[in-house]
Amino acid sequence: MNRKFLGVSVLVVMALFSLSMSAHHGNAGVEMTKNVVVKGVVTDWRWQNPHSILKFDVTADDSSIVHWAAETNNPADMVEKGWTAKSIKVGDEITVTLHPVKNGLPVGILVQVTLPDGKTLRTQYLKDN
Amino acid sequence: MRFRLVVMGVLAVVAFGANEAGLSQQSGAAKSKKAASAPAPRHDLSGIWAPATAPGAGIQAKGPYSMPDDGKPEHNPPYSALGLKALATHKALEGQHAVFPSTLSNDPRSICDPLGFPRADFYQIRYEQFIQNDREIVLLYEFEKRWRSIWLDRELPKEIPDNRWYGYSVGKWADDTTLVVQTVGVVGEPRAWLDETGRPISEDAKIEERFHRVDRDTLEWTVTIDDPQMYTKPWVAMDKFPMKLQPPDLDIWAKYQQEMICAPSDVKAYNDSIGGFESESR
Repeated sequence: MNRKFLGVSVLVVMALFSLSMSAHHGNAGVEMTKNVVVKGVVTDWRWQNPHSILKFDVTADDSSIVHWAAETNNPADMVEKGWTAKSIKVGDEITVTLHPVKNGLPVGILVQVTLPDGKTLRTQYLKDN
Repeated sequence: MRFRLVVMGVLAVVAFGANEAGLSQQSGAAKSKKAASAPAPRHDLSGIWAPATAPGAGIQAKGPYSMPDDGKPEHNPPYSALGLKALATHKALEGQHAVFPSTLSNDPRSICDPLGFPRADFYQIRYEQFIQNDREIVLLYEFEKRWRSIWLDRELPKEIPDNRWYGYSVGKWADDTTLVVQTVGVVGEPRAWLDETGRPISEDAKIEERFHRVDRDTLEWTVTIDDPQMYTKPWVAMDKFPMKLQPPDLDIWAKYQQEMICAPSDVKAYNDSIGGFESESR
């Protein structure tokens, strides 16, 4: 189990340094019918186009850190769901629900976030949203 | 406090049917919520307009409102041989022939090139503002914060000095509440695409828009493509797309907090964090 998390971390680092310029994309690489729930600490929150980006660290059982990245919608769509640029702050302790990518990397599409004060913000990807 | 991974596995199976729910390709203003509205004013399109059925109804990620790239024969444009050849070179991120992984795409939008026209009508129609005087209508597109002039007091140029991303547009009133706009001189293949699914457009295309103000609060937006290079006959890409009049004091950017602009640095941040992940494997 611990080796698995370590392996994931290594792959994430590799991915961050090896990705070529690609693009705003379709959802073919994402398990759009599955949810993963993780708890972590926010390391970056970028309110931007084409998709806002949430990064957070999750500590595994062996104390290794898994660096997660989740994309959301653009600010215009997020506003419609009650989000703002200041909804999330670096250091916030959050619970994240996301659709994971198919290749197992700790990357996904954000479904909802529960903030430190217990408030939950959803995205358009929640099935009953 | 140290956090632990709570759940790595799959927790639930959810149906994903609402993505860009507004994409439902409903037909015309007839299906929008009908409320009593004052008659349309004569020769006046001014105002802020938004999709009538849902905020996301104008995103059109799968192709134009009336011609989504969904494999249905009736939604297949009448490609010419050249059109098919051009289409085959486009590696789109959306539609039935979307490439995977996304790193294979060559969509010019992905490097923040302008959408150009008519793609501006077929992607991210959200809040659109029409500012009108006797001489022209200025159409402000929310997406990319672009604008076009639709001249009311002149004819199309006999010769195009140079093709432009948003072309040359003139409008004539067909009746009291219908403006017919002709646009020529657009940037076409290979620099600009017609839609998200990679359908082609040439620099010789003539695009007709019909803006019909049904009543004070409802505008229908129709777009017809006439491009003999890429298509064997004219075809209607957007048929009576319904728009609803918004409050005149609506401050779009205050509401959204940020402009919908493709900044290369933002795209890089996105790609470094998220984009292209599909090409990696365990």
